[in-house]
Amino acid sequence: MGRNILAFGRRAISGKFGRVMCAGDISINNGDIKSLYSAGDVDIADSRIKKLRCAGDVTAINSVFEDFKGAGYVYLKGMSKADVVVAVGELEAEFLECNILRNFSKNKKTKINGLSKVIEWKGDFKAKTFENLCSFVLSCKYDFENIISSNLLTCQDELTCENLYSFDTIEAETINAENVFIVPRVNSKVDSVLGSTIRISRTFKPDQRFRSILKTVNYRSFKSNDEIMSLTSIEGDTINIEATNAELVSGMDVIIGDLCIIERVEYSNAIRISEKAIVNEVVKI
Amino acid sequence: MLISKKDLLVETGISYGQLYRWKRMGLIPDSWFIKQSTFTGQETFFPKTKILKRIRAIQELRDKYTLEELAKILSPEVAERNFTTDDLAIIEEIQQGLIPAFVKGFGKNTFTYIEVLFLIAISELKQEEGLSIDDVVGLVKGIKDYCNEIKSTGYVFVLFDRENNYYATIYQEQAEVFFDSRMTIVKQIRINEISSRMKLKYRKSFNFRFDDEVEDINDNSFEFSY
Repeated sequence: MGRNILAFGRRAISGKFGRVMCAGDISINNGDIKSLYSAGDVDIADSRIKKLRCAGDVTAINSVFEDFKGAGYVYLKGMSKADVVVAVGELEAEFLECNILRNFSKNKKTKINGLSKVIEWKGDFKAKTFENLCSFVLSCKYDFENIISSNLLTCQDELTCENLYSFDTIEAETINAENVFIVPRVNSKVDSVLGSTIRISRTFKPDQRFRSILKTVNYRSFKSNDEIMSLTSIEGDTINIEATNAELVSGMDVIIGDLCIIERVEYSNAIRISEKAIVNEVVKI
Repeated sequence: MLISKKDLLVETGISYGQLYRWKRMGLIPDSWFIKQSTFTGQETFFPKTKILKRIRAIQELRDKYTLEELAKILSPEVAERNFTTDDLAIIEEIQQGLIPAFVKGFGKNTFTYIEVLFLIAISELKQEEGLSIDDVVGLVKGIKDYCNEIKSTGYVFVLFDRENNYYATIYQEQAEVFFDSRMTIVKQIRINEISSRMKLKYRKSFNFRFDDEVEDINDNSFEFSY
């Protein structure tokens, strides 16, 4: 293991280090660092950093991280790789590939001065899991296997991933995912939900699939208020919905639960409709 | 002629889940999903010949290839389109003065789509890093034999500087690569990114499209079957 550094003022380092703690700005070139804590800005090039905590801005070029947490403006140039990236502020990346990407602090009391209320990242992101913990506009280029959203998530076009869990308001023209779980919110604006398994439910209990997803936050079971979500159509193989107002629900195995108001339901295999639901037309296809 | 989504599912035996999975993965272009008003509300229709051909192709090939591989096979980058030096002149990202160097380096005057993407990468590097013509010819000679092996755009082009000599490495995006620390990485360029830019910018100039998109492109007739 390399030596430790405690630095005040501006420093420039290169080579192998253990723990680096810096009160001012620091510049790292070709570094291999076990942990880096910085109160100022950090410039990194062609380096490998295991753990990074930075209160200032970070600019990194072609670097690899394991555990990255930045509170200021983060700019990743070239190809960047990481295990976990948490950006509690603005993030811009030419190409970032990581396992978990999160956009805010787990602590709901966290407040960042000068940060706009809605965050929007720029660049190209690839992650196994994207955790949305603050009001966020997903307008960047992305390839996320799983999306877990527990705050407002807005996507101008089609929101696509393998597994989507939305616990708060969601806005997207279309949601297209293999497995969709949505907690109905009255302010959600979604036109169509498409996929294999679609569930809209006021109660959430982590199932095996959810438990197997890589994540940094502990999402517990909960029951939401009696909000009703409106959308135009839901199309999937297995559909199980409640508290939903829709024009069309079409699937193979369909369950229309409590508080649903559906204009037309189409099914090809099996259907079950709650007594507390209103369905205008049921068609077997 | 168009086919409704419901008729398509019945005729091909696929489920909603499969249809939307293939859409997500780019196996079925977004533009083939055409929303039309009907008496039951809004419905989605597809160009019949193209979608049936595409789904049959996916059903036949999915046992041999993964869906990711299929997406690449069915996308235009592997289409056997050759670009002439006149075509290269249309591409703004390629410096005109470098075309003779590319011809010299490759030893030919027609290029595959993949080769064109590497030429754009080298051209950008020449501009940004001030590479000489000899450097460009050297790089082209160094990579030309590998271009035939590359069948998709999911690669990264890396430029090294070693004692003022430039060398290139090409690796697959998913691969974890450890470079010799004595080499200076000048730049890493994602070929996929260049490809996306190319497809968007030169879609009309080069008619980039899926290989079976040619048919019934102007066919707007409708067929309703209820």
